[in-house]
Amino acid sequence: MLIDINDYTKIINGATVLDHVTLHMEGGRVYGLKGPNGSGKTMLMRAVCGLINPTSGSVVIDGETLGKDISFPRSIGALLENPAFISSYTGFQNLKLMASIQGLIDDHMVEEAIACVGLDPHDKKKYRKYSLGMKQRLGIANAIMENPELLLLDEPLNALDKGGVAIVHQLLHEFRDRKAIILLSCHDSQELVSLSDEIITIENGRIAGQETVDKSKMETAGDAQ
Amino acid sequence: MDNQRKPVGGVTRMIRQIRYDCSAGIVRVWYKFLPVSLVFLLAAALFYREADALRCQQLTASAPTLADLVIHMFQGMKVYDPSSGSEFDIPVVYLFISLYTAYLIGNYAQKDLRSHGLYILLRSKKRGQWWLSKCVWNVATVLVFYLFAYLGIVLAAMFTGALSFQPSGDIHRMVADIAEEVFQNNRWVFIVVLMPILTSIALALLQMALSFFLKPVFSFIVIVCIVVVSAYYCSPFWIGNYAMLLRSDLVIPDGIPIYVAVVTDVLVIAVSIAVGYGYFRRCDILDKQ
Repeated sequence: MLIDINDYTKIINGATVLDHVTLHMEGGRVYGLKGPNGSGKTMLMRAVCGLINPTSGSVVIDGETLGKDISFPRSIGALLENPAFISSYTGFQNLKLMASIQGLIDDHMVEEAIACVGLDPHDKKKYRKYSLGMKQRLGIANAIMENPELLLLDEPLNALDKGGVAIVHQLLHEFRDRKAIILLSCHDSQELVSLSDEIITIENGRIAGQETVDKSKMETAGDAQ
Repeated sequence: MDNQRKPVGGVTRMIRQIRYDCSAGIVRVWYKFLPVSLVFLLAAALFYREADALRCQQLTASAPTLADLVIHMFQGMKVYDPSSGSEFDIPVVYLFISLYTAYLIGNYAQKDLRSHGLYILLRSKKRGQWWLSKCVWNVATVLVFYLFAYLGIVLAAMFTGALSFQPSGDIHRMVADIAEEVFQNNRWVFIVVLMPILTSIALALLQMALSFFLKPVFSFIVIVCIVVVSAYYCSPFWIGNYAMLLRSDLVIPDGIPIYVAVVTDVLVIAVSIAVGYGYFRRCDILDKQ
């Protein structure tokens, strides 16, 4: 998959939330978004999802322009803001309902995805009784279960314990190996660096910097410790 | 997570989305429809008491039938003439129908979009499909409302054993001043049975379309205003009138012709769907902030 964000600008109620953003993203890489609150990270994710329309510019995914050729990316999994599901359903019931729309996966694969994130797929507990960490895990399972080529994760590590964080690391490695494009944001800079192949810094809706993470330095630092 | 299937086609996705909306928006909240049956059962009981009193006074000869209950529930109210000095008779059932369906429609579409519905939308791949599925849910909600309403009415009729669909003209002449000739052909069936449903659908779709331009609470207020003003003024411009037998040209000389009511309702439905479709295809889907 290839994504080209071409000179993308978005103005909402007179405020420029994305300002001439140009990015090229390829499969098999994890792109970490870094920036203060309100800098435009989530808005950029919404732009790539097709949830907002540009004031000018475009998002082109594998040659198809969002908002013109397609409404949404053809293969996408997303965790945007706080996950939200039907409170009177179990985790499995919720994801089964989601999976039923496209019919890409069966019940067994839904269960696999739930187990992948460290939850019990046969748990009869309703979603309303879930802890914040469990809700976050279910949100991640919802994003990954259909094996999407584009994975957007907005603050995936929120409310996760060490085990949960380790699961996210492993999942991202797996998706990267499958040549998916992964776009994620995280307020923990250290975690962001360890998860990402490239760090994109956003300030006031503009790309302020883009750098490749030197994994070898990280490994050396790890060895030294 | 291997062995994925091919994605289903657009029509199948649409059907599944409708199934999701009906499941999440109707089946899951089935308890919200129970008061509807209770209200209609109560209203029917009160009507029975009134009709019984008339029979005891020998002002009427007939006991109310199922048809009489249906007519009474959906007749609305007589045209209000303040100059005549008559009191404004609050049309409780008419107001309940309109306001409760408005409550059921509520902010479901908006709330859905800002929670799990967002992930359904991304999977549907088409914005228009999401909107059309919501329209189907909207119509289904109104139909289920009337199903529960008729359930209450039929239960009431079963208690008295009068399940005939033959109207008793003398009862309606005494209770609502409706000429007995009105029930001599079957036009009244169309006005009493179908028009309230069609009008409710029109108001519900209008409310949902408006909720994308105004906040849901304001679109609810707009519908309440239309419904209340319709009670005060008999005019084809206030579509609440179309749901009332007592405002039709079948009952009053300068009443609203059926064809005007049908055409206007259908127009409101079509415009609401089309405007909502056009807007939703291009709008930005943002979070609450």
